[in-house]
Amino acid sequence: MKDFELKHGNLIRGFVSALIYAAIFIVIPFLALTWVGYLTPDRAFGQQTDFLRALEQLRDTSALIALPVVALAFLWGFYPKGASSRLLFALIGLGFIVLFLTNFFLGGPLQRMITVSAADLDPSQFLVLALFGVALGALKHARDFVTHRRVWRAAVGLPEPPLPPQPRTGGYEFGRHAGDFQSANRTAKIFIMGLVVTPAIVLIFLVFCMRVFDFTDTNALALRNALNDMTQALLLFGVPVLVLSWLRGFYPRGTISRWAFGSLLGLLMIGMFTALLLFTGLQDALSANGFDLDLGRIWLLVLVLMVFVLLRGMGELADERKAWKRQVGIPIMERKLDPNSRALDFSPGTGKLGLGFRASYRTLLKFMVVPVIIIMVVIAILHRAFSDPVGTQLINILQQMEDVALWYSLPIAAMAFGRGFYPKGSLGRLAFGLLAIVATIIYALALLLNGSLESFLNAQGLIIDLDEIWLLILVLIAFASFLRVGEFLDHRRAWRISVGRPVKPYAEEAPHSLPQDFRPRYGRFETGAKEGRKAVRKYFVSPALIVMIVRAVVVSLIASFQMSDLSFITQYLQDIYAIIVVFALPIIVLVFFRGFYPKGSFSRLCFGWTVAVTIAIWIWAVTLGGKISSNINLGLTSLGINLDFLGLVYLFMIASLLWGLYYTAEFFSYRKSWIANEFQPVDDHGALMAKEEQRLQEKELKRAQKEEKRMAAQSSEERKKGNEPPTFDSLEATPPEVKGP
Amino acid sequence: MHLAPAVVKVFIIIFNLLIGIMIFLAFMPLIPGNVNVDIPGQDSWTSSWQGSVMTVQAPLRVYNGGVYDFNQLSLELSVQDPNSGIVVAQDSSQPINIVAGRWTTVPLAFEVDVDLVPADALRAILFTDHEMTFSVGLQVKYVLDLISAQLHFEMNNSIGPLLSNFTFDPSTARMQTVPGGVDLVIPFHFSSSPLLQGQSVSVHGQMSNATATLSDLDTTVMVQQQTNTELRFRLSNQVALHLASSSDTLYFDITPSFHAAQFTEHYQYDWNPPGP
Repeated sequence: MKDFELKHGNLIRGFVSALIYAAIFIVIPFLALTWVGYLTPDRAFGQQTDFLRALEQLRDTSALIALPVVALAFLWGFYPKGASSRLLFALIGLGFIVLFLTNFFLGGPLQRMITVSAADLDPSQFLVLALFGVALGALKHARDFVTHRRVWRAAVGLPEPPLPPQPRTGGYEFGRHAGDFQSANRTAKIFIMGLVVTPAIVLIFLVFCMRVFDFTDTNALALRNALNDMTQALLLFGVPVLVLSWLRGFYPRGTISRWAFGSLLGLLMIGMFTALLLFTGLQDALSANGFDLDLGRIWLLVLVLMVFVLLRGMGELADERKAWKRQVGIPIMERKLDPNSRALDFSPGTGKLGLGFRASYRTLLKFMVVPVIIIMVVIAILHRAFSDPVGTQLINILQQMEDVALWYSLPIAAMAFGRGFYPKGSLGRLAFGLLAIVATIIYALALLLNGSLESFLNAQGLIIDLDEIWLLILVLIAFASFLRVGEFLDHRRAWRISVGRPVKPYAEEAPHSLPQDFRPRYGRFETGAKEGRKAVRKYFVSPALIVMIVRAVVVSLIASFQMSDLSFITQYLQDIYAIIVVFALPIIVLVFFRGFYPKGSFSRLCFGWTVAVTIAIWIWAVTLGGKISSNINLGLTSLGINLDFLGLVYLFMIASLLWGLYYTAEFFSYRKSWIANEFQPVDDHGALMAKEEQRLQEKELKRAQKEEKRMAAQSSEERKKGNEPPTFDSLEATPPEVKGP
Repeated sequence: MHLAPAVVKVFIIIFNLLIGIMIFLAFMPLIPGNVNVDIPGQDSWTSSWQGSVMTVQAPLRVYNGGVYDFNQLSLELSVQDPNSGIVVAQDSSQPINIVAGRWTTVPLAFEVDVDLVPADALRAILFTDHEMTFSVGLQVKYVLDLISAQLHFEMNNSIGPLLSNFTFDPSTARMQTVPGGVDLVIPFHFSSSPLLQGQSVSVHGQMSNATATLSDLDTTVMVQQQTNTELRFRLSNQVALHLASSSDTLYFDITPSFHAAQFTEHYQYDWNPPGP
């Protein structure tokens, strides 16, 4: 009964909790519903309509039902973390919240309001969505209880609970001691929000839009019903998804239990997508509305993805099994790699199946599933909108592109598997990465359909050189090879160490001078290549594509309307294109070096300023110095334009130069930590986590010392006066366990 | 991320956002056509004369529905005779700010010194039509004066006739006895552009038959929108008796003139003596 003893409670915390819950469940709903009442037009005439009466009834009953919630919130806040009383009152409180929500959404007043206003809404769907939030809340309370129970027991003087069973394979892997509540809650939240709640909200919004825009004919009603059925199916599947995702997240990687629940979750998702796409009447509703979208084909694509999800789960089990056993202390047979083997770079023993399947899954999603679905939707729309020969021709072209996306993505996925399978720094990963780039280039070239796409566009009056545009895209794809090589160079040393090969130790000369910061050994090719790729996209491919497309449109207009006097625009565009091409290489190289050198180095500062100045000049050049002038003769009239927007250009140039200030601030801010880190890049995330870990460790140490003193004092007092339990406040403030980053 | 670079980064992002918002506010409200120009109609133009100089003016009303003012808006107008190259009219308006969210009146005015206009061109403008070159220049600054634009629009257009629909009908002529002799009175009508209303047009007339000049007249007519007047040819006793008693073929040369420009119309009429 120590769980319910009042002396362990804290009144202030109880009142704060009660106030927060009173605000959420009484004050805000009351004010919101009162406000809605004042917005109702009839209020102005003082007429108490049915709607207003129902609204006031809803407001009053909600406030009444919320009173126990507030009382239970007080009790929940009053009792310390780890006490079963806190958990009990939290769960009872959640029960009342369910009652509150049920009354709100399904009670008579809201139904009457909906009937009176002819809103044609189904509030039960909102209730189910809210209940998922309640379920996640209950899981959070359970996690808090389990996490803080040990400290609470120690604080109130209860004996230590029996030790958990010794980790072993088999049944232990399905037990409660093998898992982690925090990870479970996080996984469940991600799955529920991503797979159920967000799609359900989108579907509800779609149905709402159809009501607002008055789609009331029979076919539209069929579509609305199908969307409603999809929402209900989603919400129905949400319950097992919540349970299975929680269990999958609960068990660590490498356990049979995680694999089993992950596989069940995958199968459940297959069932869910099957129900959504094939058994909700969506296919018939779309056909009735003129959209010939083959949902069966989309289902097959999703099925392929799900197969990879299942394979990834199996791969993860195979990859992480030994690591898990090693972590929990189960003896394993270590397999030794031969560091001198020439084939070590391609040895399957160094790879991870799970990462390979994950890379394939992502590639298929990016190059096959998403493009094919988009093309199918566009074809369905075109099919409905155009029935002339031009429309048919365009549909044929899109169907060919769909085939390309379907089949040419397979080699990319196969290569991506190899790249994901082998670890960073190995030749295997580099080779498959480069082959994947080659496969992607072939995929992009195949999308040109041997010039038939360009011929079609030209026939329609859009004079465009697709080869030129594709060349830009291919440059962007090919630039990824620098990333692969950079990743290989950066991780090669770590890989050699991991497989047991000898490496040369770094020798630092002292003292270290600023020019030494320019040494290549301090740089990271991967980060440099990443920055370089961003620069290729931002300062070369995107602007060049825009210029090319605009030029094609202008040329087509000139040809169509015989407006040769507009050719000055093409000349301007030609000049801009030339400037973009000229500046591309210097900018990319400079940006590469800026990313190559780490934060805190003088070299990064120098390249940061150089890039800022170069881009400022680029802005000035691309905008043609901020001045444009031309004369257009249009038959009997002529038009002269002189546009001076140099002031605006200066603003953009200043914005670019400000980045120089940023790199200056970064240099002074990171300098010490970079030197302290032995001239290795200071990873922001890692440094922060290390700092946080240190802070928690210090806090834990203080708490332990305090507890030790308190226990000593308590023991001496007990010897004198009897067994007086300690106060709880000092113990509750700090978390009981300190987890690593 | 450390505090100092984070602060600078936030500052840069805010600076970029402000530029983006500024450009958005500058151009997005204008795209739906929130700038309206109320071009003055023909009735809105007023003219005043000082000697040979005609000043034409009209109010141009502009509504700026954007966020930023159009600053220092000035207009330049010029009219040029394309044959001689002589600029017959030129003027520029005072710079004015077109304040956002309001209608602003921009006074348009230009002067024409008709004595500078070549006689042929002026004659054509007054009595027939003439192609002139119109140039409109516009200068304006926008978005806190960060952008300045100069537009120059030039086109050839025919203007005139400013005096038209001349009606001189000798069939309605009547002989009227006046102190000192007999007048042959013939109605004379013509229309005028509002620009010339209130001005004087000189009319010279000559009446003759196959053998001799019978009468001359010189008179001045005040121009109205529709001018209705009578031309009175003073007849000598001999001519009056001749016309009262016998038929003849009469020839009339009517020459209205305005400054250096004049225009002659020839009429022929088979005269029959009036009945008893």
